[in-house]
Amino acid sequence: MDNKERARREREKIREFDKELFRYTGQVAWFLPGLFSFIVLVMTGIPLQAVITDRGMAATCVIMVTWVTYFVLQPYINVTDSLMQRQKKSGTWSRLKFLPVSKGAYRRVREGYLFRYLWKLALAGCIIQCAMTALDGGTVTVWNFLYVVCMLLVYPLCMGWLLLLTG
Amino acid sequence: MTNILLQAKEVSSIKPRGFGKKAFRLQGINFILPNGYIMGIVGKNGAGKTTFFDYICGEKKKYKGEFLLEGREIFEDHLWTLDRIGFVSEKNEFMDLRTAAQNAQMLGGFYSDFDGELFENMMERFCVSKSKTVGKMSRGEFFKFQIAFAAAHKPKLFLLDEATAGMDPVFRQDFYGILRDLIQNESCSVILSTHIEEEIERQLDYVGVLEEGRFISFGENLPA
Repeated sequence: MDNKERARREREKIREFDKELFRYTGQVAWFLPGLFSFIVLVMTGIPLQAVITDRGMAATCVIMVTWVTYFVLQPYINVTDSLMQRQKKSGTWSRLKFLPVSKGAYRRVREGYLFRYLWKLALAGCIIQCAMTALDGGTVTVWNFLYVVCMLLVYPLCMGWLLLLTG
Repeated sequence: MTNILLQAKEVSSIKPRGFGKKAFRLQGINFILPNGYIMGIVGKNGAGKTTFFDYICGEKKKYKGEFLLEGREIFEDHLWTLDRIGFVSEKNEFMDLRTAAQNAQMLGGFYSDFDGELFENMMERFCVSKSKTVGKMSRGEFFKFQIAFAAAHKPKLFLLDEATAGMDPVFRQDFYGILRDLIQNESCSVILSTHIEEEIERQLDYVGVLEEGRFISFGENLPA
């Protein structure tokens, strides 16, 4: 078996594990990222031209996006095994570290989940940003797209990468 | 000597573990463990027993020298190594709110040859219900579950870090019988750390005495 095939199988095994991991917490786990994503999308409706002049608004948006990133990854990087029992929450990786699975593959699979969520969010954000800018009577420029892509895709991907590196 | 399973060649820590007076490092560990034997590591608390297991199972190579499993350096392909090792330790974490069977199903999939039926048979043999929640198991039951889980993927090498400490004396006798069966059927070896003198005298084929990170003696455990 070559290395590519082996890596593919390893990622498949991690996804299978994640499915099981998610089975019990899935519905709850999607509530918080869903809520914060909704807030972020509402904020994306504010045209870039208005955001530039309001630093408070920009900072709030960054904080909300950070929460989205955290809550999308949280069910995969922490095992909330214990909300009823010992109030203990510990890392998923600590369950896997003595098993034949590499941390690199574990991280890549989680980065994949985050990317799949974020590109849809960024796409929706772009549509809302353009529509609201046009409705506001402004001109849609490439900066409107860049703003949304940086805010809803590049920044949270970097945050997620850091979170997975340290988590 | 033929059929060497694990060999340590001049294994020493790269960095000392701990700080100040408690800092110590493994130094010059050399041994050969053939297939089909039980090796014991004995020593006081802090002598380096857990560090020894950590070096074999840990994510990063923290030693210089070589650990050869079936002639291959263990960090050359660490996943290959972990697929052939059954590690049992109090430090191991599982899904506390799920049953033993659910844990086996979730985590066993990572091994290339996990046998769910063997896991169930071992749990039955250990008299621990597979539908018991892992977080509610006693220390002894938790170790039994871990041994069943480790055995189910048919490892070449069992590493048992103080596994017998939580067992009652009657079961401990059976436990060595089970280990001998595993060794015969699966052609593997066992390294375990223990403080229990009776075990050292009666059950171990090789004994290494660790003191401050060094093997002060290593050899066959011959009856006195």
